[in-house]
Amino acid sequence: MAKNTVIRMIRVVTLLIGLSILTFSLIHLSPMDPVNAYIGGDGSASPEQIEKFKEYWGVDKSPVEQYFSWAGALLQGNFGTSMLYRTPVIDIIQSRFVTSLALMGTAWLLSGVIGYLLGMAAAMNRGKIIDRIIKWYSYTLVSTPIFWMGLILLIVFAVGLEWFPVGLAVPPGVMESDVRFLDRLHHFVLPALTLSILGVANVAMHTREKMIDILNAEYVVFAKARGESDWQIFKYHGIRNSILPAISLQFAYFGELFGGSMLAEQVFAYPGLGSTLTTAGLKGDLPLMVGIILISSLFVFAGNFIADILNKVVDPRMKGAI
Amino acid sequence: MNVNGSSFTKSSTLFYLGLTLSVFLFLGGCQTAAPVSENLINAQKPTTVKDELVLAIGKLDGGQFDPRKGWGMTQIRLTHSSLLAIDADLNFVGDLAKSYSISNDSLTWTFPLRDDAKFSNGEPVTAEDVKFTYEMLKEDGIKFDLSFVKSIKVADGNTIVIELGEPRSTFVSQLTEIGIVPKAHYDEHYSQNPISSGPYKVVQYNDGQQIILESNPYWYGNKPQFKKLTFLLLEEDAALAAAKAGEADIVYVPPTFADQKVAGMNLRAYESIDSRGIMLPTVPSGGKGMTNGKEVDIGNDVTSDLAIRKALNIGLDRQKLLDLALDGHGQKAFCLCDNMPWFNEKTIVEDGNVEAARKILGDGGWLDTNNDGIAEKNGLKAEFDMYFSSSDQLRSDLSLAVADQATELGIKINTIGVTWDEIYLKGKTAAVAWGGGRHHPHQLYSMNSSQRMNQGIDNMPNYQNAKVDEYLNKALTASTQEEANQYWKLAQWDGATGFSGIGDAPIIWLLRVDHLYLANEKLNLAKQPVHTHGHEWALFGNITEWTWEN
Repeated sequence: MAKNTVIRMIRVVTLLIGLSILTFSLIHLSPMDPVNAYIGGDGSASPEQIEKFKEYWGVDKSPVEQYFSWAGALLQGNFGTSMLYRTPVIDIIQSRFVTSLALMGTAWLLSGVIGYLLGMAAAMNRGKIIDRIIKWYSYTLVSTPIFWMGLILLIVFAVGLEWFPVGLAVPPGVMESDVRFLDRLHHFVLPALTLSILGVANVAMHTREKMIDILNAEYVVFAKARGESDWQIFKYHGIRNSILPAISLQFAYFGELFGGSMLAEQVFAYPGLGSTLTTAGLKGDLPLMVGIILISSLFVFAGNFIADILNKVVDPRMKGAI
Repeated sequence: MNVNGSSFTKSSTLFYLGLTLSVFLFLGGCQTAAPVSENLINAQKPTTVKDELVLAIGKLDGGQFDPRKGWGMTQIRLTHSSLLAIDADLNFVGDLAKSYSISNDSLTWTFPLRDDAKFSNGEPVTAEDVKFTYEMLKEDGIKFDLSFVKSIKVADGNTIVIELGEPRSTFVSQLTEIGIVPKAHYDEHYSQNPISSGPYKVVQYNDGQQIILESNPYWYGNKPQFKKLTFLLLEEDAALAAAKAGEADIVYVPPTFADQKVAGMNLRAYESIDSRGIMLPTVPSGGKGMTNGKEVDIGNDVTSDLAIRKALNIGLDRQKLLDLALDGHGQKAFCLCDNMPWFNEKTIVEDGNVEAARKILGDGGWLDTNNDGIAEKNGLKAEFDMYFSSSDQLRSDLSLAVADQATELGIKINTIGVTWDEIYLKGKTAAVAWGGGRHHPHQLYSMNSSQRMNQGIDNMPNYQNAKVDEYLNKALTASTQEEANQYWKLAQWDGATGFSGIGDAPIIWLLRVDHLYLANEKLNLAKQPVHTHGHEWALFGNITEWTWEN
């Protein structure tokens, strides 16, 4: 286990190095110019000022030098300064990551639990009306783009029924100290719902397939022959055999979740990491963009890593390995 | 993330797994969650005297209240006061300065300051604060170019004296844009605690979500009726949704949303000087130049031919372009400054005249000899690329409509949507959907003077005309606004030459965008002056005159 972890850690470090080099090279090859990002379209900077600026930010150096000075600063915990917001990148990421994390966490949990239960229910009742309804629901949702789903929810629940606000994470015009937890929850529901609805379909369909395999296995036929009820079969064989692939799938879903949150946040003007990354990319804010890319890849890596550990924790056969 | 499963018993593993995750989520949520408050008053609760407004007029959080970061640049700002201000008739009047005077050589500007001005923390605004602000911005030089300022001195009697190294009549515009910051409280964290002396003060800024302003109790001017303004930082479609859900009092709408009906709100359209046109390189290809400090290729063999540019100016039908690109919500533009006090009305032409355009082309040697619909001259086809910012719907619509109309004249325009970064790299070799228009004439100089060639993104067409340069310099060095305006007009067209469409046409101005808002029926926005560039803040110049009528 310890050895495994060390290898994993080495892998993540090389992954991050590779990723940062790749991002740096891609950005360097793109026409994005940090000078434009900083000055903006309306600036009236003279050539002397631009030279001064380039020297200050080090963009007059070669890309290799730039990479090493950036990486050197990063090793000391300095992610650099955002050109767009003119504040340290790490501060922006921190404030946005917390909102994103709550959003993704909830969506992740809901889609995992509900998806698993629906998948189970469908498999246990294969061919019956309940299975068909779940299948129909899942197929429909799987083929629905997430931003479209978000817009539909927005039109129905925010504009039509006025049950939920149209966007943002806090009520407008209310001072920070007066914002209640309920207010935050109220603003949180629609984006979280959007994000989880689609995850549910994925998980349900995978679980259903896996469960059907299990139900066709000989040990289940034998259990039936012994006279075990559906519930007993589910409890003794279904859960145990289907939970491992479900967990792997669920944690590997981190990456997709991140992509989905980007769109959901955009639709609901929810200030998370995804919408910030979009802005940083579009406006050419390189330090912020690289920062978010690194953090999010760590996040996705952590998902896979946790899945591996949990597989061992949950599986009694692997107990000795820990 | 610490998930350590080894100490768990087998049966409880799942339970703890769930619990760990819930706690982890709860912590995530709690970091942003404030303590539960007893305050149950909702922001939308109707009150008898409405003194709060919720506005969704765009993503206006650039610059974050710090002039060094661009706050106030080209925009009206409610938070800061400046030495001068612009009134509804576009006159430059005193704000923090009671008045101003310029010496005969136009080099010494004197501003006696008002004595009753205070910052939002109650401390007085002194001449030292003004001196500090201008020196700080001059030193920085990125957002405000003050390189022509020689010295800023504090004189007796609460007076500021600014000495210029060279005369500059358009300095007045910067005097209206630069918000004064307190010397004692200004540092790199100013954005977090922006103490300022405008009619409103920032009480809260939720990163990427909203800005809450409250009226500044120490404001020296007329008290606004609305004590609190909440700006929601929403995109246009989300803003419209907010209006439909009754969450906002004013929302900005792009022309495509102008026919949307929202109960209790009506459409307000305001003429602006926000102009759009086509930038056309005026030199043949092969040279090198600079854009934003980077060496780039310059020149285009087709657009550098005057006949092409003049033909487009008279041949394009501005009304049709308006109808297509703006659904009619705009005005024709002929110069960068239509209807401003420095606008030369002689530059207005009867446009959409295909015959006249073809004649200009023919006289210039551009004829369609092989009947492919595109004119040629010495084997060169009248064909060029036109770049537009692909994230800008208006510029993209306008470019396509221009290309369509140009085919009638025998000119083929290939429209290409790209990012601004790419436009800055390639823009000097092709046409670009360009924009501009301010409450001051400085852009006439920066876009057309040969002295501004290769500086930043100024004079993109690399345009050079000795006569125009002479007029622009005289306008810039004039000691009164009246004298300056006279030369601005001559630079556009003096009867023989000029930078306007009937002259050399380095940039053909086509239309001005109307700023459209959906506003609550009961809200009276008073008499709005012609709006400047930027629909976000343009509306708020006269906020102290706004009223709510029950």
